Amino acid sequence: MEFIQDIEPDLLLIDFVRSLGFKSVKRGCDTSNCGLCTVWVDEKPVLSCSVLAARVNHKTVTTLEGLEEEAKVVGRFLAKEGAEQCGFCSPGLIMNILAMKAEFKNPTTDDIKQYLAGNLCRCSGYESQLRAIKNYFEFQGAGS
Amino acid sequence: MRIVNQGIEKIDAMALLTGKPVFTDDLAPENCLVIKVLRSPHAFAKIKDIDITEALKIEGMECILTYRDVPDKRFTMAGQSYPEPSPL
Repeated sequence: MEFIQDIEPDLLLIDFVRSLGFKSVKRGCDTSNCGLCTVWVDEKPVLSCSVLAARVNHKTVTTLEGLEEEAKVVGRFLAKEGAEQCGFCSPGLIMNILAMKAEFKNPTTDDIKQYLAGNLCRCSGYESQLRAIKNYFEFQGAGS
Repeated sequence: MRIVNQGIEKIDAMALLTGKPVFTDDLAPENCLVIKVLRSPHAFAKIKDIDITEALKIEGMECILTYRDVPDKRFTMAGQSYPEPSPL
């Protein structure tokens, strides 16, 4: 989808995409610490709370709405392990899991921990997420 | 033992995980009213009166709710669930 809009110079990308109805992009800390507002700009994950909307002029922004099928696949693994509780951090986490998938075929536990260090979760304690992510990558490996 | 010791997926799991608009801030309409709570600036004080006349002059102010707008007894003290049929 293409959006042509006059915007304020100080409009943040998170507010721009949310105003367009892409509510999967959550506002967590608002200080680039928690990873909840992760979107892709030209396929690379960024924190939309610290990117000006004006900077993505002529660029492609991807939110979880645009990755619905992939999100469902990852989501099934997370749901199975109970890795979502309040679920507020899940969309941002899945954005980065999918970004990691593009870079790693077979990430180790350390790879996963390092790649997702910027995705905070205050419910799960991360163990269930880690199990789910490992299962997801095993499933991907078996499928290809 | 179909249930005991088995994990159960939450019924809202997939909506949460796939980023559906399920949180309050996702559902708030563009032009919705904004509510602010005014708390006492004093840690220990008795409120004798609340004068809202000045505050009502603020542009865009829809209403100000105080103790006058709520009943004295807002719940039954006897522990019944709501709605509780007996007179308070």
